[in-house]
Amino acid sequence: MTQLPDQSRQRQPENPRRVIGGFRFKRKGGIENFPWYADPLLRSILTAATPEAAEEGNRYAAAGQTATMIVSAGKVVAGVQGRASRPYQLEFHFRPWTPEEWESLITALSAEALYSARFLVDEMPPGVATLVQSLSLGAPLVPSKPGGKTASDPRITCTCGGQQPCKHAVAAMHILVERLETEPLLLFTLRGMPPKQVIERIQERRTLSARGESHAHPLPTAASDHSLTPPLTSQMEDFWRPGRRLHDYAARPAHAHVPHALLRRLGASPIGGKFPLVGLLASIYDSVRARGLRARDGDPTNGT
Amino acid sequence: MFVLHANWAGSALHLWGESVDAARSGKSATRATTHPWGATPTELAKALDAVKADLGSGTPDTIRLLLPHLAGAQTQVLPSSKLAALLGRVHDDVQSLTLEPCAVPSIRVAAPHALDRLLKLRDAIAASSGMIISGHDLEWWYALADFSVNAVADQRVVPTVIQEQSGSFRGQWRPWLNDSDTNESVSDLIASMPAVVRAIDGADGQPWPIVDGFLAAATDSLVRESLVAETYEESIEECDPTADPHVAWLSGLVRSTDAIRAGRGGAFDLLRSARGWLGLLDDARESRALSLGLRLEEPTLDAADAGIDATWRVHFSLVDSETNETVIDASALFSRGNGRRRGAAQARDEELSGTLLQELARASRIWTELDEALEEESPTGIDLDTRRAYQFMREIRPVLLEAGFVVEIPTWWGESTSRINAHLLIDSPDELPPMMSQGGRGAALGSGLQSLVGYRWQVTLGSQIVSVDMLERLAANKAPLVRIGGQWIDLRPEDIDSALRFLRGHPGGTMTLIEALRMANGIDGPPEALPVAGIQATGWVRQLISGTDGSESFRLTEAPAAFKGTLRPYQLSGLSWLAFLDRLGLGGCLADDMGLGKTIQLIALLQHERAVSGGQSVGPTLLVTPMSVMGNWRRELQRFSPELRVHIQHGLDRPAGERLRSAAESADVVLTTYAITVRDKDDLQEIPWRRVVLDEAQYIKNPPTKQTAAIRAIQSQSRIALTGTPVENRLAELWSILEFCCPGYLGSQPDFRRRFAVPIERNRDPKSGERLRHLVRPFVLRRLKTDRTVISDLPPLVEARQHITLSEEQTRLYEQVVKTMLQQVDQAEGIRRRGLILSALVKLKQICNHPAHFLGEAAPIAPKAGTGTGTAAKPGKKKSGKQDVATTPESTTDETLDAIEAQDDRAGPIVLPPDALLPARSGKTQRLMEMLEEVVAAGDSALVFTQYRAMGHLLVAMIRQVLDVDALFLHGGTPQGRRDELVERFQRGDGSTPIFVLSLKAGGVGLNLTAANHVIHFDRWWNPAVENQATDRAFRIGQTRTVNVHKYVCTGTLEERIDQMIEQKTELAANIIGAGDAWLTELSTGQLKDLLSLRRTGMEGGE
Repeated sequence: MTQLPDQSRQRQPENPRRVIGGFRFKRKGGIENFPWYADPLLRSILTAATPEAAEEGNRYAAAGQTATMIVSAGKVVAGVQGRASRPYQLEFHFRPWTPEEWESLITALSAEALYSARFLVDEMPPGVATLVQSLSLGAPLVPSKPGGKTASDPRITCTCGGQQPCKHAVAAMHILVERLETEPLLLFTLRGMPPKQVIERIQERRTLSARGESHAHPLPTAASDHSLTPPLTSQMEDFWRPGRRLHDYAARPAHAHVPHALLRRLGASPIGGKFPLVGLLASIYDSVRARGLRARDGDPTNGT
Repeated sequence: MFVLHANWAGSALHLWGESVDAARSGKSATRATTHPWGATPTELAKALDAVKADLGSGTPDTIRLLLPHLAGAQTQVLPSSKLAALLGRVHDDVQSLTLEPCAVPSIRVAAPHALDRLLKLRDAIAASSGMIISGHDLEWWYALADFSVNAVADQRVVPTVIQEQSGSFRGQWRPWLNDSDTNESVSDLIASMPAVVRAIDGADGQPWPIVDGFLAAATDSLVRESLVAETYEESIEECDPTADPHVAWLSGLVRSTDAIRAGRGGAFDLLRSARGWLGLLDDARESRALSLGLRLEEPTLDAADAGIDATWRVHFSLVDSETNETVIDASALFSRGNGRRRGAAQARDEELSGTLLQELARASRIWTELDEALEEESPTGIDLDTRRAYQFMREIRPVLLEAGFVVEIPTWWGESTSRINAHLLIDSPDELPPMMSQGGRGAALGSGLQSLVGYRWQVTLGSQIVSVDMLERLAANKAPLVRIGGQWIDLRPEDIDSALRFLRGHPGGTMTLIEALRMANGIDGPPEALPVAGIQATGWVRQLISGTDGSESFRLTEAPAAFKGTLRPYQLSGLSWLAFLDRLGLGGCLADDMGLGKTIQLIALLQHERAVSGGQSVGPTLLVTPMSVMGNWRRELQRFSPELRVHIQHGLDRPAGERLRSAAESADVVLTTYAITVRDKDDLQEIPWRRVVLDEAQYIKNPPTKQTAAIRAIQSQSRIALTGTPVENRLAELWSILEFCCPGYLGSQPDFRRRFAVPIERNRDPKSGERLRHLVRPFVLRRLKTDRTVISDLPPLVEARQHITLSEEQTRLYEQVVKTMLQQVDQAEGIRRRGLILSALVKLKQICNHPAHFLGEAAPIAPKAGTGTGTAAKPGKKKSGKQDVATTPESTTDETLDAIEAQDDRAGPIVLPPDALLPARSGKTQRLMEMLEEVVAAGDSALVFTQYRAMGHLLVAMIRQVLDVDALFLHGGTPQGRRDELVERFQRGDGSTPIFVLSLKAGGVGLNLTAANHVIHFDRWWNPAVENQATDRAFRIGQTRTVNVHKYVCTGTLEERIDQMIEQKTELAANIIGAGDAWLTELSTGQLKDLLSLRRTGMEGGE
């Protein structure tokens, strides 16, 4: 997305330098009729800015002065080209929800299948805002207190050094809001968690409530093979003895031991830690085998 | 005395017990809030303590189970199957069972200790003398415990992350169960889970949470304990778990607590990414239609350099996941991609190459060298030098196979012929050592095993014998694979080293045969790790180790002329085998399937040795049998070898001391029982026996009893054991029997247990099983009826009479009834006389069956009785013989059968005094238990017909108690639906119900029971047509095996007399058949006396 501003063009002191390939605000309806999850953002910044800044910012947005924009968790960084030679670096800092707040929201969202279903098709059901409100999270779903103060949401900083919201901020907000219109789940990113993760965590939480726990390991197919056991009432005559298949089990030859087979099948860890996990696991597996062989030879001693 | 059970509930193992005494004393079984005979935790802990089963931190608790209750006015909980067997309790009426909740006091063992305690418990119970008895469900728990230990020992465990309901995260070690064969094992364990294990009140009865809960707890505790002990925690001490997800995970894995020390978000990410990582393992082969095939091609033979620089190539292909057949080679796929294919074919090819690349990428996680191939545009294979090819075969391939890839390598890999091997060469002359060939007296037992043989060691590479020089050169070469004589040899450096040490340390010399055989099978071998590929021998040792496979072609001798019978080809080879071992002064175990004629092979041997002795005296053979088959032996000896002089050492007036010695010396065979052998052991030990033979040799059990010790103390030149049980699968029995035949051969009992029993039974180690089979092969001959390559001429139906000897108690009762009856009939007339005769007849038949049958000890108890032992007759009033049996004479067979069967017909659980169930009180039941034990052990199944319902109940209870098997029982009172169900269960043939007891009346017609291959007529109805009809339940269309029919006849009794009459088609026989027992009533007192009085054979009583 990053586009360097084209510097070969002639300067025009009154007008900002032109940007080739910048983000241009080209919405047909102008700033009217944004959906509920985007509208307050734009409206609030336009209200908070001086009329001049609002006016200029509007123009900058339409002219495509926003050269770069990166949205990450809780933060939007944009480069807005003004009259100076380099674009101004602008940052929106949104107030993040704390892990506890997220946890309570996700728990609430997982209670209704509707939410996951809508999220999966990139829609933001209005109920979410109400939910956020009723849970009294530290910040609403849609931020609407832009400014330069610590308590602002978003808190805006810009290398132009002007009063916030500056025109650059207004311009960038146009672009952000236009994007929000089609990607409403970006609001979650603004509050600190990418939508993909929100969806995963909701699903995880749903599993957790359904099964009592959720886990990293997959289950064998035998776990869900309900044909293996008849109803208890049909087993009353043979209630105590192991079934015949215990003999089949006992007759099955044991696996040939392949050292570190599972570890080697796993390969390198994709988890992204720095600690040499696989290396340590290799020596762990050796200790484990030694312990298992001892137990096999009749030393089950558990130390405790 | 307690029967112990286990349940997994609330993440803990609950141990609970049934008090046998409480159940027996008739403590009310009425439905109550708590289990009526459930042991209190204090009682149970005390008992467990007494057997030294340390339960450590177990705490008293209560669990609620759903247990089968007998429905009725007062619902009663039923005893467990083990307790019922101990009590001799049988309930026949399943329709009235209901499942009711019941609170059971338990000892709760927390999850981390569950495995440890369970394993200790098993060993403690096994070593204890019966204070605590494992319930049947515990067998399953022990299997599950072994499964988890094996998973740990085989490194089949993975770390995982778990998020609790509360939202907190923890680490856990658990077994990896998703590979297809492991999954199959888990399916077996789930499917075989005893119902009681999942009958937890309030749970959903699903087996998985129990299996999962226990396996995870067991695995985690064992792994974690070792990691804590080895202070793995120190390796992450300096690291911040909140900053590094690897450290976060380890923080929940290597410490004694399992909490993951990371923020919630971090832990959540860890859970997700760990799931992704473990998911790579779960790339189950079943789920994909095509898998990558890798085929390693060795360098061509004429390649200039076959050494370290030779080029090996791995070819890629796509393989059908189900059939393992190649779908297309990568080279073919890519070459036809060049242009000309269009449309659908092209699209298909593109899909295939996409799959191939995907699979290659998957495989490259395991075998990183594949990345090299993936750099090419159209990868069709990869070239390897010899060193890498070696690494591929030895290290990479096993992992690729586990991950579901198909890997083909040259067939020589893994064969012992392509490794460095040690061979034991034994030189022995063709002629047998003189001492043995003469069969003369004075040679000690096992002299053959102790005889010295010359030996030397030879080290081979493939088919080439190598010298020390050559090995040294190879060692210097350092190539892992060399081609010698056109064959690739796997030269592991460690093999070369040990081969060198070996050749320098073991030049050769002499050793005993027992040492040689043990060494050749890798036991007691040299300490160096060189594989002992086997034994090569010349002369008689060669014959011993190779010629005894029992096939019909093994024939060293013909049937002796004086033998009055025909030996089938396999019996001749059995005789040859016995004679051969005998000449070598070796013992052996003839373990042919029941019905193959072990008896006549042994008799032929006795005759044979006399034929070849050239007139020289051959010492006497001591033949020890269970009392029940003594009569049979005597009869068979008489029939096949009337020349042989038989002394029967039995009865109160049997000789002792010098008299016994001279009786033995002037006999060829001394026939006696196990019990007498113990009693007369001092005298028997004084006699120089030619041979001791044990019939039903499974009687010498382990741990050694007085009986076993007495028998082992008897000296003889040779020992032979006969048994019909599959000894090779019953390791404790195998050891005991071989310890008798070939003392010392299998080593000490603990040594044998460690070396074979534990690896085979608990670890399912196929190699140990294979070694044991090789080791015992020279000394155990077992042929199966089903093995048509060994036995080619078995007829479809084999009928034999089992001549049964009455027990002392039976003899006494029998004579008393005859005496009383003869006195009474003399003074009676008409209806009264007839009534007396018929009543006596029924009594005699009952006595032949079992004293308890006659004495009415098997009185059924109506459910209403409500108490444990209730109205069952007390043992001890034997003499009185008070009978209230209805004996109305009937004129037609069917009606009489009805009447007989109904005599003692009342539904409900049968409770027997423990004494009633002693099979030894009756020759018939003792014999039946022996035969059924073999039937069950061999995986066969049997129908047992009796005329009496009461006897049927008794048999079912006895079978349950003695054999620990639930027999099916069908009689006149069985409702139609239940009948169909029983037949269906039996015919299912899954081996869970191998024994079917039927009343002749209810089960003798109409049913199709072809799952049975043995039919036992326990008592006789004097009508061959009725009997044959019953036999035909098994012997009919659909039967694929030989059916063995065994007709029980008590020697010396009216059973035998009438059997003979029918057999000889006497005039009387015509009257007997089809006329019920009415004809008897017309006999004169003299005739009656002649027919009914017991003819003593010298074998009754005395025990």
